[in-house]
Amino acid sequence: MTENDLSRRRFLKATGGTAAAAAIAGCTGDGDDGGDGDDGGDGGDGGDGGGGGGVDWYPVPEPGDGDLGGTLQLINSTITTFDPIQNTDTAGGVLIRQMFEGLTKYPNGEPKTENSLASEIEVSDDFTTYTVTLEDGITFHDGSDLTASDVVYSWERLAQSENSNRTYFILDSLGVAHETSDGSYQPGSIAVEATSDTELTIELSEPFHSSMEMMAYSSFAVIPEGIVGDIEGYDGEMDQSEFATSDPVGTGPFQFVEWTEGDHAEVEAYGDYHVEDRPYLDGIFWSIIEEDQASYTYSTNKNSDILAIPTSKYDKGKVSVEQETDDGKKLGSYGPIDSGEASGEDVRYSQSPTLLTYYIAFNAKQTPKPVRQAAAYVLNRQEVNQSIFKERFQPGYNLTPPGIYPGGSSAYQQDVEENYPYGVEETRISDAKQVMEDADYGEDNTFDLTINAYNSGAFQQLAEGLRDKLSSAYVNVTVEPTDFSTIIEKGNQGNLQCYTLGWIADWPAPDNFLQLMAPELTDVDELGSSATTYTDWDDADTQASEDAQAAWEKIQNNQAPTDEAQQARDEAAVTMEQANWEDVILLNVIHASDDRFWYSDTNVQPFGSMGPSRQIHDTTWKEGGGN
Amino acid sequence: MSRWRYFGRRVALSIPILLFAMSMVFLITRAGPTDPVRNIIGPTSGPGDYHRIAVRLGIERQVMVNGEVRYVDVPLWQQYVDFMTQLLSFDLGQSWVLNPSTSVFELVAVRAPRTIWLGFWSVLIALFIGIPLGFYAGLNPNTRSDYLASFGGIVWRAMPNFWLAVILLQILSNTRKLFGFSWQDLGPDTTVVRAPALDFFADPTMFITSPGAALFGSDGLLAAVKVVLPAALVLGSSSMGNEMRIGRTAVLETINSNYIETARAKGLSERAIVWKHVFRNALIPLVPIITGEAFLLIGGSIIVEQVFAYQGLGQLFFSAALSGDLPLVGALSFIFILLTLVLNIVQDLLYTIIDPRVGYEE
Repeated sequence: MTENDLSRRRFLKATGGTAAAAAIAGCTGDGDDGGDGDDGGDGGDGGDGGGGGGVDWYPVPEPGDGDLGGTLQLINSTITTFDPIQNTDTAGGVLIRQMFEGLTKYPNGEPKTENSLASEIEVSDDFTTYTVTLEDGITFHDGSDLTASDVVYSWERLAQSENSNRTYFILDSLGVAHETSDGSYQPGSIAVEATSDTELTIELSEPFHSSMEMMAYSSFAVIPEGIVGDIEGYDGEMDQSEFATSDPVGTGPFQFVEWTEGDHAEVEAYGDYHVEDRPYLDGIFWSIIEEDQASYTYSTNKNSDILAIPTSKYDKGKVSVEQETDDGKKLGSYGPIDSGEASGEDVRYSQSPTLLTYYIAFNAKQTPKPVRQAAAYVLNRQEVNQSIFKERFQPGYNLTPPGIYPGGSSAYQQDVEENYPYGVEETRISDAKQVMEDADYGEDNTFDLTINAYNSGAFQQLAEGLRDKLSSAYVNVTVEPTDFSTIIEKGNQGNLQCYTLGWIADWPAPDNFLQLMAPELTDVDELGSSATTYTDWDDADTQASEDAQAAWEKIQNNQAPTDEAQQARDEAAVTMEQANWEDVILLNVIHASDDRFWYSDTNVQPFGSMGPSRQIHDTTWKEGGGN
Repeated sequence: MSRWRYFGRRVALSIPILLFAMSMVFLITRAGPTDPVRNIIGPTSGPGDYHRIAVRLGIERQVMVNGEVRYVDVPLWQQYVDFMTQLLSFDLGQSWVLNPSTSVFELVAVRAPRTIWLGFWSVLIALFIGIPLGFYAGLNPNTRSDYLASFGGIVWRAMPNFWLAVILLQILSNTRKLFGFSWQDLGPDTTVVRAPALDFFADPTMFITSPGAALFGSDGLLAAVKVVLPAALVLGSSSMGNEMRIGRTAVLETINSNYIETARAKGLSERAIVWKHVFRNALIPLVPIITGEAFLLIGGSIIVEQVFAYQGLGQLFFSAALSGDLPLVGALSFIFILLTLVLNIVQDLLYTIIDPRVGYEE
């Protein structure tokens, strides 16, 4: 099998390590988590008025006549391209979301998708053929009508164009049926076909439950047929570079105005947008600012409507949460701001959990179970969250984040409170000692454990905290700061006892996380560096390992997008999480959250767990509009 | 040796320097740990795309082994040869990571005016505050004002750029609390951070067609000066201190030399002595300092541009280096190195003009 020809499952294995790296980058708090410029805050008026147990701006009210118009001022980091198939970063993604649309979307960044360009999507009985009907009367920003062949063209570009940086999204992740020659994609062979002007069919090579979620990624955005000639059969109306930098054409609520590299980007409302009366704004202006201090200065001087508050400036004592939603969002206010023109003001605040988990992984062959359990006993996630992350994140007991945990955030909490064996919000050193003593460890017989902690401040602190506590449970820990590439290399050689990494979702479903602890995928001897984690759980020979393997197979056998299969997957997911609790293969530590702070004259929906960068600002409005 | 032969020799000597420097740049960026492909596809991508992009960039090559597709690294020496031939033929290529659809020339064209504007004002501030202060102190040695100026110079010199920048940013951003007025609203409306719009460079005719906006508008000349001043003050601060100190010493040295005594004995007025004899000679040691600043501004501007969100060449170079954008790093280094070499030669020529005693004899 060549590498271009990866099946979805193989792909999962192969990408395991790399997504972990992403997670780490985000956790250092250095603001490069895509630099979506959206980690602003909120504040202002929410403060102490909430007698009714909630903020007065949520649900977000509809604007009055005088509130229409105006320009939303935001901060963004460096944009590379506006071509949906070429873009891979959050900064560009934020703008692409405003200008382009796909068949489905994540409304306000919520993981549950809605139709966008599609009015109806039907699935065949074998769950491999999707029949999509497009909305009527949608036009592109250049005035042309949207037809099914535009979709076919756009997806073909994603699969074929040399400018595409995301071919695996369509060929592997979504798994659209296609042909290959010499190991590469055979141009024109994706099974996406326009059956009429407004209808098309998509054929997958096998059923996939998260197909709607995949289609909502911005890479699948639709552009006018033939506008760029970078695939076979098209000459193109313009160069790809022109399309990508100065003339992007989509169907979104905003159309492109200008972009000055490294300085600013601007979009304006598209008058003929297919949702009536939207967008409320006249336009959006992004200042491009990379540095934390500078964006903080810029936004606290009221130059942007959403503030950027880096962790170094963040003071958890200023947060007052007045409302918590069912899906785990915290709403309230933050303040007073102590710098700039906004000095003394409170701003609005919302926090949403995102689909990112940091974990400590143990190799089952090299670290005996009592040691792993001792580590679980002494780890106090609440303390980690407070001391390392200023409580901007949430304690993580499961690998699956609360936002996509079966049954949601409340079921997550309930499962943890009822079933977590090693103590919630506490350090149980005596239990840790006991479990070690039971296995004949003691003062004269200690265990030497090396933690290869990912080379960043947060992971170092985490590992060192664990080291200090484990020392009283007969475990001598050595913390080795390790680069990501070294972790992969050592993992491949089977030399890792214990390491720290993180995982960020490819698509919002538990199985995307659970592959990391599917015993068969953790088999380093068999899979080498493409094992999802270097834990060798398959060699543990425990009941929990067998349970987890069986549950993983159950998930694999229930890939169809039906409620029934969903339920089977959900049950299996909980089984896997709890089997992992028993064996402590992955000691999950923390789930990341994203927060936003914004001035009270701006009304913006709180974003969901797919993150602020996926939010479309068509319903955002400013008090008094443009005045 | 004639002046021109000397010049020719300097130019010839700078070629190996250029080649060596570019080789170092290549080695550091390519043999180092940054992976441009990883930076392009982000951390959550599949290996299929990885190899496809690596082939596009010329880092890997597709080969068929027994009917199977394999990807092998293009040898580093071959990448090196490609890199050098491209640069030496002034084909700066396209950015890999930061702006994949834009040529390096375009990127530089957008960014360079901002950095030049910043550099211009930092040098100006240094020259017009540092040198007069230094000369003043030198002419009034060991007085109270000399001590004040000298002490001030040392303090300016000692304050690190990044620290001064952050403090200045804090002060400007909190002027309302501290002084009761807002820096942003003072004069033309501007923000505290970010680079000014330098539209008037691109379209100087606007000074005639709409002089009001061009001068006083929020994108006009005055606004551009206001925005650049804090950053320029920080960037120029250390050289300002340098120039002050060296200016003082130079004046002191000259003023006590024999020919000044002679001039005095001739009965020249003090004014004529200072302006005609002291200043010109005191400038000699300052020449290498001032040209030296030009290099400092290129290197030092990276920090100041970062703190003030002033997106110039320094900031571009910094992000390009971090993301392993070889063509961009290469092209920018190439430009910086060329600039440095040219300035070096200019400096040597300037010497001979200011001080005719400096010759080319062996």
